[in-house]
Amino acid sequence: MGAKLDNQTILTVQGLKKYFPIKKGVFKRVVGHVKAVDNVSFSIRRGETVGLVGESGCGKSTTGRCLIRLLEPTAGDICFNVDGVKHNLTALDKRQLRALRPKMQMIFQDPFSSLDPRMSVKDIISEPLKINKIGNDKTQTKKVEELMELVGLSSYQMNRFPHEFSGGQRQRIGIARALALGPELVICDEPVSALDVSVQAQVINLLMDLQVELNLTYLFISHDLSVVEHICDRVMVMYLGKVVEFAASEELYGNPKHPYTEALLRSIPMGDPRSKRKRITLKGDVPDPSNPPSGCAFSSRCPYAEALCKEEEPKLVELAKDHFVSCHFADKLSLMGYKPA
Amino acid sequence: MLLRVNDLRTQFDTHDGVVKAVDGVSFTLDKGEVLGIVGESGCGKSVMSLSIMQLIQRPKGKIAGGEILFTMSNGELVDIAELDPNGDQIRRIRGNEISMIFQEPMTSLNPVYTVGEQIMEVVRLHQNLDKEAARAKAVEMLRLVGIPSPEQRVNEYPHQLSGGMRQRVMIAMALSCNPSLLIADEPTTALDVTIEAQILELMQNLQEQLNMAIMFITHDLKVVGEMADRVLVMYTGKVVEEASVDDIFYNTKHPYTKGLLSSMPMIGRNKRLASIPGVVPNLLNLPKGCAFAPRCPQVMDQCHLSEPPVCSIAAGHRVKCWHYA
Repeated sequence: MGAKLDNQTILTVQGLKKYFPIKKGVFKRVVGHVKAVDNVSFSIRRGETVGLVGESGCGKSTTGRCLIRLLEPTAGDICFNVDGVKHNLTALDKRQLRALRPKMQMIFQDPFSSLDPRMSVKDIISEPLKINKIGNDKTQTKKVEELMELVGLSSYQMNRFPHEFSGGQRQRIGIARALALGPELVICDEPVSALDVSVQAQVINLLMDLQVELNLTYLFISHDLSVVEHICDRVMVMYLGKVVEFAASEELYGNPKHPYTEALLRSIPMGDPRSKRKRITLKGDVPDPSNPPSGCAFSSRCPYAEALCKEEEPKLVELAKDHFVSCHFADKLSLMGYKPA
Repeated sequence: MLLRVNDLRTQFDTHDGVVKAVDGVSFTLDKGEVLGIVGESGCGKSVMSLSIMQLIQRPKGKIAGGEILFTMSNGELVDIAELDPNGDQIRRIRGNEISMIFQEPMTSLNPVYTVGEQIMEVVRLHQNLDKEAARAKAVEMLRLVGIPSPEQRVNEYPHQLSGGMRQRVMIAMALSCNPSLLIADEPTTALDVTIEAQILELMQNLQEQLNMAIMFITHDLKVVGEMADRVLVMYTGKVVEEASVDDIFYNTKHPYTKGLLSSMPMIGRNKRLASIPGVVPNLLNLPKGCAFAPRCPQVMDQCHLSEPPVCSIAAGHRVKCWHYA
């Protein structure tokens, strides 16, 4: 429990770290750490959608899981604002955390492995209600019916099992389960990545409608920059456990300030056969996270890197209002956005 | 003409009945042409490519009809559909004349052999090179696909390479015998966007350099737009539209293609995505008439009654839809 906070900010993260130890030998000695999330700070405003993008292994899912303490963070503060009261999630014990969990829920990537195959849809969606002892059998069934209609499923299907549904429908079941307790913050971890295009569009539209209807706040984790642009108000780009750029969606896609963001944007296939856009391809792969390059983590692949980049790690600074960049030369480089120059 | 597929039908026997995974597909592919094949899961795009290689798993699956006419490098025309899947002739075609790369490079490489040994196996088998020459060829191929310090990498195992590097190794292996046709089945789907861009660029460069034909199978229309000359759009085992890539994007005819294009999130476009209602029907229980009719926004009575014919609306532009009959 903490001081009053303005109701605008729902979540503030300060210096979040998650290190996974690397153990070797018979005695499992710790020989090093994979810094999956390394000193990440940001805040999310009520009612907005923040996108978290990056390539595999950049720490975006780990960040999402740490936020609701599905993983224990190594260090850092996570302040969650419920009804004007600030709770520091990292300081709470299990019981206190459980009381707050209904306010923050998660939607997972794989609709095949995130639903128990031996539970009926009704059991899956009502499980959060049962655990939190909300209502009786009758009101719970009614709530399940409402939730199913809300996410576009027919309530007569509630006694069926997950395998009887298609991928898109399963993802709807996962969404209904996440919404059962009336959360304020929903962490969506690659919610549409496993779906076909036509179904993906249905689920994206559903998520956007639900946000308006229920006044939800989303943290939307995805590797697909086109989907993120569609759904997000602000976008955060991560590379090797660090935030390299954080800005409003339009600003980030139109006027990127970090060379990595530029490379990401220019790597997206355009899809338009008439476009004569020049692709920028980065050399090499993402470095080994247990042994990142010195200085700026991106320096080994950056086409603009200079001597300073290998020596000193850049700090995340606010270059313009609400536009945070972590690059020594952010104000000197003239980078290209998604659209052809 | 390099490849002509006529009325190809590939079926699988299941407990619940016969699944017609590929149902009457016809198309041609010229030398040096890049053909994109798009569709959602279960539309038959992968089964079609496996049929061309005679890699359909028997006895459950079989090529039930149609022709796959392929022009060999010596000018001979063979019907692959007629060949024995275990015979000598198809083995001379696989890897040598037509080769294939798959989505997941980790599962398509053998984890207990070095990448060099795996490339050497291909060239020794098909080109009768001795060990020394095969090794030199393997290094040369790794260099061609842009792997740094190939002399060392040739001795490494697949797990020592990253996903993008593994896909490069797959490409090196596929191209080591100078095939005239490369079938790429979702080659970049498992890769991150910056690595995807690298692989697409590599494939484009190699295609120009070696002048081979590519069948590029993907669910991602954006990739097709960058890579292909011509596009086939498939739905429930049938080709619903075939056109040049420009016509697919700018002169779209079939309602399914239109739906796919408008449900694709594109940066800078209006916020609401137009989705296609419903889901792809079960292949065991296809609707009568046009298989897309239950989801089609422009459906007519006729569509529920009988299957639409393939209509040629312009040179090289075919649509399977009653609106154009």
